[in-house]
Amino acid sequence: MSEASGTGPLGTGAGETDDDTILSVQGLTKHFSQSDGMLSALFDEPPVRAVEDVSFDVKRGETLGLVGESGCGKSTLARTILRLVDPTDGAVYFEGDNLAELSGSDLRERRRDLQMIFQDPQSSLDPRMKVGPIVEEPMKAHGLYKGEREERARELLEKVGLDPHHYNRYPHQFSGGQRQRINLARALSVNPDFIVCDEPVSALDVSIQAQVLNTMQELQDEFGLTYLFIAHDLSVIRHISDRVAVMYLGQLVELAETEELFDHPEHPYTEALLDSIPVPDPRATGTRSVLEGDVPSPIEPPSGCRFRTRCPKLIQPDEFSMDAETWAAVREFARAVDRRTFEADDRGDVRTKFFPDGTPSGRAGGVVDDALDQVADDEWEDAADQLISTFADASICANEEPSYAVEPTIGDGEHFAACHLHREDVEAPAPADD
Amino acid sequence: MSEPLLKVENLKTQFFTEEGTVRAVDGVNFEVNEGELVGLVGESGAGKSVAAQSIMRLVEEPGRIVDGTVTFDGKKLVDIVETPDGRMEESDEMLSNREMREQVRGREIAIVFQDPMESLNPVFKVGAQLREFIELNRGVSESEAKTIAVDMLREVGIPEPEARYDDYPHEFSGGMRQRVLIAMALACEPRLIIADEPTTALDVTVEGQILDLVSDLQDRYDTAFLWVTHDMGVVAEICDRVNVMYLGEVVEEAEVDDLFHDTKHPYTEALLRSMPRPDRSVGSLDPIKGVMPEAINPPSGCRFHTRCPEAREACKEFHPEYHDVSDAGGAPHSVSCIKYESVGYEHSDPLETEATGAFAGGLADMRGDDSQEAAGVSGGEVDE
Repeated sequence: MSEASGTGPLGTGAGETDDDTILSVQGLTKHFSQSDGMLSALFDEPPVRAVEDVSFDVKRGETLGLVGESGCGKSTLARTILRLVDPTDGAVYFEGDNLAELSGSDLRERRRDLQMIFQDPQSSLDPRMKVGPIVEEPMKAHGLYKGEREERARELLEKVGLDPHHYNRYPHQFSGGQRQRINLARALSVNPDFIVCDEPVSALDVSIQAQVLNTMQELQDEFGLTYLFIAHDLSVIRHISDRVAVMYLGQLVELAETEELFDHPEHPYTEALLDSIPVPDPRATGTRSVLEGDVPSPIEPPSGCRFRTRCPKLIQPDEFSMDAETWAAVREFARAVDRRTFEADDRGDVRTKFFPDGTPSGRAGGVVDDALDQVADDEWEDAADQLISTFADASICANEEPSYAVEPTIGDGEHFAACHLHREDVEAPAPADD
Repeated sequence: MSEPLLKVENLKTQFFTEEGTVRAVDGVNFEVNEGELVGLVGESGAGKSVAAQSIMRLVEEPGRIVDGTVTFDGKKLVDIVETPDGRMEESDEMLSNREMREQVRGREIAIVFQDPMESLNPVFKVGAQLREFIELNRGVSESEAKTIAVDMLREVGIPEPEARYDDYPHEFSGGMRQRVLIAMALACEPRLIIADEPTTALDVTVEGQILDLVSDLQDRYDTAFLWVTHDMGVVAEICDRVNVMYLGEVVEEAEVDDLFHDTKHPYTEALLRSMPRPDRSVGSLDPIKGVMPEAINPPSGCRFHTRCPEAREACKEFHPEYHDVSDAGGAPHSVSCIKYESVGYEHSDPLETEATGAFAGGLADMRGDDSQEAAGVSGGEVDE
C-alpha cells in the first residue's frame, strides 16, 4: 500500500502508455539555476527546485485539473511536459514516445499532437497579425492542410464561437473572451489530441469565463480532446475536471477524482485550500480554517513533506506521546516563537497564552520550559532552534517523503495522498469536517 | 436611523476622451453606515473603482466628477450644484483640495488598492513609509510613530515585525505587502476604509488570511468598510450590505442574505447563475450572453436589456427608476428594473435577442461573447 519511494501516484511503471493513458509523467523534475552568467560557475548557487519528482497519468479524453497557489510550479510543470523547457530529470511518455528524450524533427512532429493555451489572451496573440493567419500559423509550421488552410481557419473560428467573417480582423478588435477563443482555434488547427490549458479563463470576468468554459467542454466532446487544465481557482477546477491533482511547492500532494477530492480530501493542504475559498452564499456554514505563514522558498524546500512547516496536522515525533491538545499547543508555540508573532514581556503571560492547561511533562516539557525562559530573556533564535530541532525536525514528516494510495470513498478511481497520516501505523485522521 | 457615515447621491463621473464621453459612473446612490461593511460589486468596466476613487476625489484627467453629492460625516466631499445659468459648479460647502488632503484622506477615510506593489514606494523601507505616514497624520514624534508602526505590523500579522520594519517592499510577499497597506490604512484609525479589490491579486489561502484579519480588525476598531470587488464569494463572506453595479449604475442594493436568496434584478441573478461553485458540482454553467457594452454609448432604456434574459420591448424605451421594493417593515432592498414598475412591462413583447432565447440566427447558437453583434445591437466595429 505505501510506497515511500516518492515515485508518486498511478505511474504505469514500465514507462509505456496503454490505450487508456495518453500521457504518463514519471518522476519529472525541473530545477532552474539562479543565474545564467559566467559568475554562476564561480559561486555555485543552489538551484530553484520548481518541480520535483512529479508523476501522474492523464487518461484519454479526460480533463485533469491541476491546481495550486502561485509559485507552486504548475506552469513550469506544464511547460516541462511540452518540452518548452528541458526537464532536469524524469520522463514524459506521450503515446509511447518519451518526449523528454526526443529531439529535433521527432519532437517537432510530436508537438503537433500537443498544444497549449496561455493565460493572457492579449500577449499570446501577435498584435500585427490578422486572426486568420494566426489560426493558420500552426498548420504552416507543420506543413499541414496545404491549400485548404483558409477554409479550415474559417471553419475553426466558427467552431469556437466566432464569426468566420472576422478572419481579417486584428486581435485588438476582440474582447478578452473572444481572444481566448482565437487561441482555442489556433490550438485546434493542427488537430491535436492533447491541450495544456494554463489558466485559460483567469483573466476573464465571471460571465465571460462561463461562456469560454462551456465552449471548451463542447469542443472536447466534439473532437475527443484531452485537457490538462491548470488553474488556481478551485471553483473552475471543480466544474471542468474529471480528476484533480493538487500541487504544493513543486510536488503533487494529492490526486483523485473530482468529487472524491472535493468531498473527501485526504491531504491537510487540500483541506486548507478547500476551506479557504469564500463560498458565494452567505448562508454557507462551516468555519474557514486559515493556513498560517507563507509558502517556503523553493530554493531550500523543507525536507520530507514540503507542507510540514505550515501543516496543522504535523505528526509528533515517535519519542513523545503527548495527547492531541498538548501536541497542538506545543506545535503552535514552536511556530509562534519561530515567527515571533507575539511579545514576550512576561514569562507567565506567554505560558498561560500558549499552555493554559500547563506545559507537557517529561522531556517535551523541559524543552518548552527552556524555550519560555529564553524567550523571556529575548533569546528568540536559541529558543526557536531548540523547539524546531526537538519537535519539528524529529517528526516523520521531516524525514520521509510521503506517498500513499488511499481507499477512495466515492467511486473506484485511484486516490493518491502524500501525507504520512496515511501510514498504517498511524491512527486514521479525523474526517475533514472535524 | 441616524445619518449614514457616508452618503453618495447621484454621483456622476465622466471621462472626456477623444472617442467621446465615457459615462463611467452615471448617477450612483449608496450609503455606508458607521461600522458597516458594504460591498460594491460588478464586472470589470462596471465603474466600481471609479466610484470609489470619486469619493476620495482621486479621479485623474481626463476624468471629472460632473454631478452629485458625497457627504461624509456632515462634510461635503463632493457637492456639484447647478448654477442659475445652468452650469454645473462646485458648491461653497464642498471641501477644498487642501481640506481633503489635510482632514479627510488617510485620517478619516483610508483607501487600500489592489496592487500593493504599486502603492508602496520601492526605494524606501516599509517601516519608514509606515512611520512617516503615522507621523504626518497623527502628529506624534518620530520615535512614538515607530513604536506605533511596529505594533501595527504585529497587529496585522507580520512575523518578526521589529526585523521586517527595516525591509524593502520587494522583500515582502504579496500577501504581506497587502497586510502592510492595511496596517497603514488602520494606523490613523480612520472611520471608513475603502478597499478596492484588495485580495484579487492574492492566492486563495492568503486571501482567506486577509479576510479574517479584516473582520477581526473591524470588530476591534469598529471601522466601516466600502469593499469593491468582482468576487461574489468574498461578498458573501464578509459584507453586511451589497450594491451591484452594471455599466455605471447601481442596479440592486440589499442586505447580503437577501441579495443571494431573494435576488430581484435579472443581472444579479444571471451573475450568480454563471458562477461555478466551489462547494458543489454544477452540471453546466449558464453564462450571461454577450459582453458589457461600452460606457461611451450605453444602450437605451435599461442598460442591461441587450443581455437580459427577461428583456421586453418596454426595456428599450424606459429607463428604470432605482427604488426600494422591500415589503413594509423589511430591510431596504432597492432595484432598478421595470419589472417592478408600472410602465407596461407585463404587456410588452419579449425582445428578440440571443439572451432571451428568441433569437434564432444559425451562427449565434454557437456564439458566446460575440452575441452583441449577432443581435445587431453593437455600437461599433470594436466590441471590446
